[in-house]
Amino acid sequence: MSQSWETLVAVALLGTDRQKALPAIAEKSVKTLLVQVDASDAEHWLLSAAGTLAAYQQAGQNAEKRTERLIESAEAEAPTLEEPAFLPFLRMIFTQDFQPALPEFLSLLHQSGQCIPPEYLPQLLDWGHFHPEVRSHLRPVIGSRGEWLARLNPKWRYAQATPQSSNPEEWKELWETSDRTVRINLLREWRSQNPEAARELVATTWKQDSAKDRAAFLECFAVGLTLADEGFLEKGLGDRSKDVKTKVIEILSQLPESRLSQQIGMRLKALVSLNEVKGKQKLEIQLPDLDDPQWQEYGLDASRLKQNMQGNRGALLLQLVRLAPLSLWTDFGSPQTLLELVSKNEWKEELTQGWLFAAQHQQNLDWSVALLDWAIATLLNPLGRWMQPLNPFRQLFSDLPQAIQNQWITNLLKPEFWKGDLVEILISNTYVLPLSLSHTVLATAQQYLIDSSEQGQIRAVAKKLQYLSNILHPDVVSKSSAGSFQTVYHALQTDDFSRLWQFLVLLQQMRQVILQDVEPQN
Amino acid sequence: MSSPWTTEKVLALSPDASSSKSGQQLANANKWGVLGHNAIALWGECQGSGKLPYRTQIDLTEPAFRCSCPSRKFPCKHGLGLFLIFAGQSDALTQGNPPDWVQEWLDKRSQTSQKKQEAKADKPVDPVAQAKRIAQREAKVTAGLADLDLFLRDVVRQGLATVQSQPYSYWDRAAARLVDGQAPVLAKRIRAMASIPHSGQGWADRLLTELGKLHLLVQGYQRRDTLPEQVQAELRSQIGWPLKQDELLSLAEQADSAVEVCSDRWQVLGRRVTEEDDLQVQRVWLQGQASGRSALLLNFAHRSQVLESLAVPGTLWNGTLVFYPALYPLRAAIKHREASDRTWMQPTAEYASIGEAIAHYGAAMAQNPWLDIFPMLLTEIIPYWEGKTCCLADGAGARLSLDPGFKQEWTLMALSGGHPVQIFGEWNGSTLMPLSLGVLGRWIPMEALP
Repeated sequence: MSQSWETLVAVALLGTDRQKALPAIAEKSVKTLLVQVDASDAEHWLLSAAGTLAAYQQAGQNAEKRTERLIESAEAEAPTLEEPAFLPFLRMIFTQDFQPALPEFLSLLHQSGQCIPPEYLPQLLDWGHFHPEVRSHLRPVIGSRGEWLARLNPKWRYAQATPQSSNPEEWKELWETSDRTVRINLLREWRSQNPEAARELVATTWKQDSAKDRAAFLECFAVGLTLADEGFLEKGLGDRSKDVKTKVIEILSQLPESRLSQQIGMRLKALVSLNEVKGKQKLEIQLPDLDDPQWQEYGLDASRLKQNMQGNRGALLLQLVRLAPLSLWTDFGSPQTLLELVSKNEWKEELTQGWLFAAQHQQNLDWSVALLDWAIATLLNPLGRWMQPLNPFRQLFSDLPQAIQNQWITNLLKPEFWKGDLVEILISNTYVLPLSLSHTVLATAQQYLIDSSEQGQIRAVAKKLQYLSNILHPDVVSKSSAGSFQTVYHALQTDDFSRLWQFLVLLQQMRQVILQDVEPQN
Repeated sequence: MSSPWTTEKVLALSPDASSSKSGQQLANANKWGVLGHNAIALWGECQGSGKLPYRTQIDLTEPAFRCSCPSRKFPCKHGLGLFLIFAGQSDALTQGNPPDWVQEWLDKRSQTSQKKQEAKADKPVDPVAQAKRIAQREAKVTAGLADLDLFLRDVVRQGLATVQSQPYSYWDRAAARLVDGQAPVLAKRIRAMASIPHSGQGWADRLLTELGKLHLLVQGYQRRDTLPEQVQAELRSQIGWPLKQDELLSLAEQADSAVEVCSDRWQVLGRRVTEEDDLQVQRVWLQGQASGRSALLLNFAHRSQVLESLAVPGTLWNGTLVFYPALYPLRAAIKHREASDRTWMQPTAEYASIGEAIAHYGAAMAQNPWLDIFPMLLTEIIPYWEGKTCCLADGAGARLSLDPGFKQEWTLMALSGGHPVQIFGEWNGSTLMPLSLGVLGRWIPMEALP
């Protein structure tokens, strides 16, 4: 912008009523033109000068010079003239809101050795940003272009490639030079390869790392966790940061043999007794004493525990049950017996919540199955009132080995299964059910619909089936298998069912088309 | 049978994102009863909410669409769905002779263009009535512009700082008087001005520029009798009173020296549909392969009406265009065109650098100070980020910023990968709105990209 233009704007801002003196125009050719304009008509002159000078400047503008560095370019892509066969599926997933099929789609792409075309990367990387559960499927198929793109957008950092190195001697440099996200990925990777070396590496920078980083690194210790980590972890009990301390306790509690777990277990066990009251067994709990200085030693700050409905002491009890080894309870009965025993206990909440947490963190199969059975029994009981969130149970279920999951579903599958919220427990299941079990799922749905005469149920069941659709075996829709689903579907052609049908067809076709050129590996 | 149409190319025809979505939902052979095709047409029957199925047909030579559904979108979702099936799974369509309802339409279409010509010749023009209509509009425009003149003066008399606190009604009243004055384009510009005082840094510069240019327009129009014919034509189109298309074409018939006629092999570079109040505006940019000329096809439709597709980005066809008289003629009408070749090849480079493109814009501005949109085909351009703004850089170290309304920056980045690409877009004097992208031999309209 020229000086003359700036003076013109200054006059215009004030207005010709207040600013009588008209500015001089330095640009010669514009000045020559303006000589023809009557300067005693101030508004006319100002507007004419502005219009002329603006056009003059626009016509005379030069390209601006770039001041910032260009980004390093990505690996060049080969020209693709044919549209890849998988692309219609990707479009369908996004245009028809079939995103639950994404993990399956992405892993098929990976199996067939293909990558996402560049133009779809932003959409998928964004999806991964909001849906962490697809990230592990996404990473292998974004290709070098995707990794390049992920470096440019902080939201997509998660997709950055983790430098690969199986040689611990090269780790040190990577560890010291990488940024936070990469370090976390590296650590998780290294913990699975060589937990000892990984731990030693963390120790070398521990003092310089921020509390936020330290807490994040501790989380990675869950991978490859053994008693050998105990010494390092115990040092963290004295950490300045409360978050780090909490993480240390959580990780140590995943080691039931650790000193901390054992100590907490002993203290807790001393508070529990099994007594006979009016001819019935009762689990009696003595509440922990808040003032005991030892809680502090265990990293439990009793005075600052979040107060629950049962007060501070109840909250401390919950903490102890969460952290103590589950083995301490064997003296009082099996998981099933105990869950039954506490159904009317005044500390039922603390105990069941604590067990749930412990079963998950200690990966205790007996307790996991017992807790799931207990949840189902309560949910299916018409008189039982369910107050707990289903999320932890969902997690518990998806952590079970596939065979146990299938066994459990087989036992559970009855028409009543379709009543209530039960099905939500199965949502995050990562395994696809065997074909026969998938048929059974549909058959029970059909039976339930026949049994319940309510019209409104069709919709509800269709919705639930939709939740489950990505764990159903894709061949349930194949024409050759006279699946019960077809019967259900044809009998109840509602929008929900037709969507579900489409979704299952999508899954099935995806497999056929994407894997058609892949050599079967034996 | 393989079709030269791919999903991407079909989606480029879609009028908007929601149509693309519904079209893809209908791209499922199970939703169609009848599905058929021959060399020049596709047809299908799709069960909608009504009792009778909708009958959808596509004339592949254009392509042109017709559907019995009540949708005002063009093409409608059924048209897109049918076309997508053809593009993706052409086996689902049975080859054969078209049913009567398709044949009738095809016959009618081949006759229509002939009839149009005849009808035009037959239409009697009453010169007296026409002169009277023109005089009436002339009077209204003169009065409207006199009002505008007063308004502009009033703004600078009060000062822009004072005007900044004026409510929207201040601008709207002035615009309404221009609507009465039958100068619709000016009315639109005044309404657009209302938002400038709240557009952040540099608002006063932008507002004063617009006020000054409008003032020159009013001044010019009031003295138009003393100005050359082309300036008069420019002024008329600037206020929203351009020649009608048939007037233009009949001037071309009479070989009037005011209109330019240009035959060439035209490549469709890009398309943009915008909505202004209740009006849909479609701009299609062409480039002549032999002449190197840029041309703009423009059409409008009320929001509730069908906006006819003018040409498909990426296609090439031989044709004759007639340019509207103007100071820097860009807008044109089609006098004659042959069927499209669907090649989707990258166009020939127009400017070697950003500097050269901006210099051309400067030259065009020097011819037409009211030029608002300028087509730019840039080659060997690398998109990159400057903070939160997506920019383009050329090999010579020059840069330009993309329009803040452009939302596909990441798609652009992903496709380029830091390598040079070709971009066609609309330059408004300070930012570029990309409309099409050339990368690795593909020419892709931005609207076909996610």
